[in-house]
Amino acid sequence: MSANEGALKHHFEDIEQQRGAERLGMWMFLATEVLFFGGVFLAYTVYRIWYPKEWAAASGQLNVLVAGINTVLLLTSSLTITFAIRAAQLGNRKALMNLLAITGILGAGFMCFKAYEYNQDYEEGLVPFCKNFGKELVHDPDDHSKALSTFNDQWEKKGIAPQRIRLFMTFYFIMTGIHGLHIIIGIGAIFYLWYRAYMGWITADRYVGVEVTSLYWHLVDAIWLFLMPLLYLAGPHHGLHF
Amino acid sequence: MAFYFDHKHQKLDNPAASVDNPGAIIAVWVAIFVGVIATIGVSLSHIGDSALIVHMLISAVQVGLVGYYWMHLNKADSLTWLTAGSALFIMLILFAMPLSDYLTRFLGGL
Repeated sequence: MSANEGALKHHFEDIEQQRGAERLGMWMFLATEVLFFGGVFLAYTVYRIWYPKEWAAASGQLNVLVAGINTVLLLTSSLTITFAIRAAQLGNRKALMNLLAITGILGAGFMCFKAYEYNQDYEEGLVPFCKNFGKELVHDPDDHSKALSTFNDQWEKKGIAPQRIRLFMTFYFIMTGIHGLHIIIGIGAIFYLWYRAYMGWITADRYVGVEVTSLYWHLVDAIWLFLMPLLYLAGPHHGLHF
Repeated sequence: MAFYFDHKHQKLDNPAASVDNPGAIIAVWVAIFVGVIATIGVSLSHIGDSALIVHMLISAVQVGLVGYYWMHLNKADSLTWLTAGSALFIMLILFAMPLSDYLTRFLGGL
């Protein structure tokens, strides 16, 4: 008997039924994830409709260039994990390991840019419930050494309540935070798969483990495709900058 | 191609027969990427509040492509479709009920 004998668990009729059950299990988990994120998106929608001016002003403070780079990284990682399934199905272990490693590194790159962005937000006084919220100085874009006023002053001058900016930023950190947590879990799962591939445990008949992990990774990617315009493109941006 | 044991007799198992076409995988990536550029273009086009609706439409198409091709809904059985559809249907209820309250409050109480 071939090595495939071990791939089929005793409680399944045949291997296709087993693969279908594994995929279905992940899809059911993803359904709960959709509802988990759905609640946050719902709350965001209510406040965006109630406070459109403040939402636009707060969104304009975020770094859209970093968000764009992160979008490219995440989309490309989804591409590479899809090719990883193909490599697993073809039994190409080397390609599988390379593609999983690239996927994991792209995911890690996403988190590095996210960390950079969070740090920048802190330095600009945009982290809600921090003492410096809204108190950092805004500099003249033409002469960076010249300080104009604080963020708070600028917002109030435009008739924008700083408390509502704080509310937006709270949404921003919660939404990107739980999304980032999902990315970290996904990176862990991908490197675990890499280890399994390295050990030679992922043979062509066991490819479904890669496919199931890719389902999770694609969902995380899909959520970002909604988060990016909702958070970063809700307001005007004055050029791209780091 | 290999044989596997199905508790009764040997059957052929050939995962390589159901691989995705590389061209199709890349085409989906390009299409989603075009969507990203369109999203940024819309936000620079000064169309005001309508941008939100256009953004969400573009995102829905992008996620549709991810789900149908990359998440293999195109090859999935009806039970998987039912699970994915149930998630969307329950999310629709999740949005419709609270929004029907929050977004109509300006009309006054009953």
